[in-house]
Amino acid sequence: MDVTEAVLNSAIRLMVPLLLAALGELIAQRAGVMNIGLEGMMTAGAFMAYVAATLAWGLPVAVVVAAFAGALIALMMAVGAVWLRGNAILVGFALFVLVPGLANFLYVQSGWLDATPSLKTITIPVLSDIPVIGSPLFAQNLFYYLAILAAIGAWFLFARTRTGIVVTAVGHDPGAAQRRGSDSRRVQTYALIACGLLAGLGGAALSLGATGAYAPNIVGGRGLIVIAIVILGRWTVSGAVAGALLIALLDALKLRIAQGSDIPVQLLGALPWVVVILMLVVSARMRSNAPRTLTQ
Amino acid sequence: MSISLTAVRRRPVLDRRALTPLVSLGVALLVVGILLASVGVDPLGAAQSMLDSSFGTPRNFGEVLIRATPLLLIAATLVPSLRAGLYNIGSPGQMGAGALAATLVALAMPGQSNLLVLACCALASAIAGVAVAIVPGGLKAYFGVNEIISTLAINFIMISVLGYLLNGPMQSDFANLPQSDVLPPSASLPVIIPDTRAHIGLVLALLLVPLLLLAGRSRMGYKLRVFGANPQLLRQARVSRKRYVIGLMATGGLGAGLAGWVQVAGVDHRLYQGIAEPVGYAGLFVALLGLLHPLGIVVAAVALGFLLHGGDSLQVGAGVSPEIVQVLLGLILLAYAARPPASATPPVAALSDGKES
Repeated sequence: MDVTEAVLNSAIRLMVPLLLAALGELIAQRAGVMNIGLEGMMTAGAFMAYVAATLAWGLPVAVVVAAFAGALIALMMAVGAVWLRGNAILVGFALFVLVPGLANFLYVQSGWLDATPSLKTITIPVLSDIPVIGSPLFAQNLFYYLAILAAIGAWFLFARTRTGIVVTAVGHDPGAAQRRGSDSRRVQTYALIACGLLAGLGGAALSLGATGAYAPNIVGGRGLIVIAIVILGRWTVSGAVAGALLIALLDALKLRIAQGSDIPVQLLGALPWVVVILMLVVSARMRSNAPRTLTQ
Repeated sequence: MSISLTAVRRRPVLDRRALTPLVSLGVALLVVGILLASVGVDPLGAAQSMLDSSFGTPRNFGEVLIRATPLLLIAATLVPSLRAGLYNIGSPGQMGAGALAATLVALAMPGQSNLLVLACCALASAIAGVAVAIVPGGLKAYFGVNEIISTLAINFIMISVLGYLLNGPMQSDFANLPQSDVLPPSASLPVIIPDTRAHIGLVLALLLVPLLLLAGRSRMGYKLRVFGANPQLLRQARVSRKRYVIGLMATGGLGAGLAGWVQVAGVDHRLYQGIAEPVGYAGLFVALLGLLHPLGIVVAAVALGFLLHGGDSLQVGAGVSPEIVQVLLGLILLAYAARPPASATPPVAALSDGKES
């Protein structure tokens, strides 16, 4: 395996959690909810997937449990920010603080340290034999294929269905959408739940799919990186895919650089955050597709 | 325009709104109690041990006060920006920068007189806090970058920088842990209450309260409330939005930087990576729970100081892991935020070009 292929391979693996969460956040933001609680939803998925796997409930159950855990946190966000009309930013920030704290507390208190069984790599015959891109694109674990399906599903939702148009309409002007007969609150609630399901899967991709264990603060701010990805991707599915791939590529290169040079690894840890800030500066100039309730 | 008149009306100190933070606190404590019971810890015993370790002796109460001091510094300087609807969530990063600057200055001037070292440390930490806060302020003012995400990103950058320095150039020769050398005694803050560790920083923090009261009654304070309630109005009055945004962020950075200084020079006496945890975020909670009122934040700072100190002592007293403090903070904010907008809630990002949620 040559260097390009190895970097590409780890980039795709690192992209999966980001992409799943980014698609979720995309749906929530298209419906007009700035969901800072994404970090909490990802953490809930990562932790519950680990719990389910540790209790030997099997992989399919662990995946479903993770998605539902994310959706449960999303429901809390919906109740607080949509139904009780609380300040979405503060409710989201509360979940940003609360859920990782809760997961860390339960993890430390339970004293579990077991690693979960590692996931099988699903190899697509013939295609995976293509040089360089074959193995990164066609020999990954379950979560990669889930992410691809989710990306296609999200694209189809916004490009081809009435539901997608309704979600976008609510994001642009909840009042007008309401007058035209779609219940804005209900649409935002469903959008948040979809976001929670996907973010929960993204979290599970981190714990089960990557490290095979839970670790305190496993999400480590990826929830925020994902929000930046969605903004830079101009609220489009293709933009989210490109943004997730960009950050993942940086991450993969970071690991390479840390091995091959004497730049301290702690300083490289700041790199994605610098990129996030730069991304936000760049994206501020292009607001074409922005949901009008988020930015005008 | 009639909305702005009611929204900027002066509020009495005590009214029914004071119930909201109390209810939030009650709900959060109840949930944490249930959580503790479910992992096999007696919640009433835990509460008893928290109370004993916080109010049992004057020395213990001093510990609550030194926890409350940085909280009050941060909260007091965040109030103006929150009133204007600007969310500076970068206090941990700004506090880390302040602590770093104070540590560097103190370690660079051993053997100097106490007063000189203190003054230099205070100045350095204030400059560092402001410098870190101006970055997201400028990005918001000139590029419209969402300040919540940029300030949070800078917090992570600060943690990386501290991690690098404390594992490398600044690591103490006498410890295997990522922490700096102990500060020289001349950098320590003078203790103001005998037999406790309560230090002069408390006086500094309390001085901000009347200042904040005065500022609230000034032209400036009025403009800020108008800004929060109706940004269009000020645009028509040709007030520079950019200057406000940067100035408000810098104010928060000032308090957070000083908070880093009092934490490192008054309590820990050495720098470590988690110096701003959980104080940095908790300062924001104090400002909100204090209903953005100068006297309210004093009460809220002491209350959260008690919870933070009591939560830490639970680890020793009842074998509860310290993450419970983060759970408690999150629950308090959730219970506080999940309710219909009232005038005590900061308006949603009114300083941006439009609404953000």
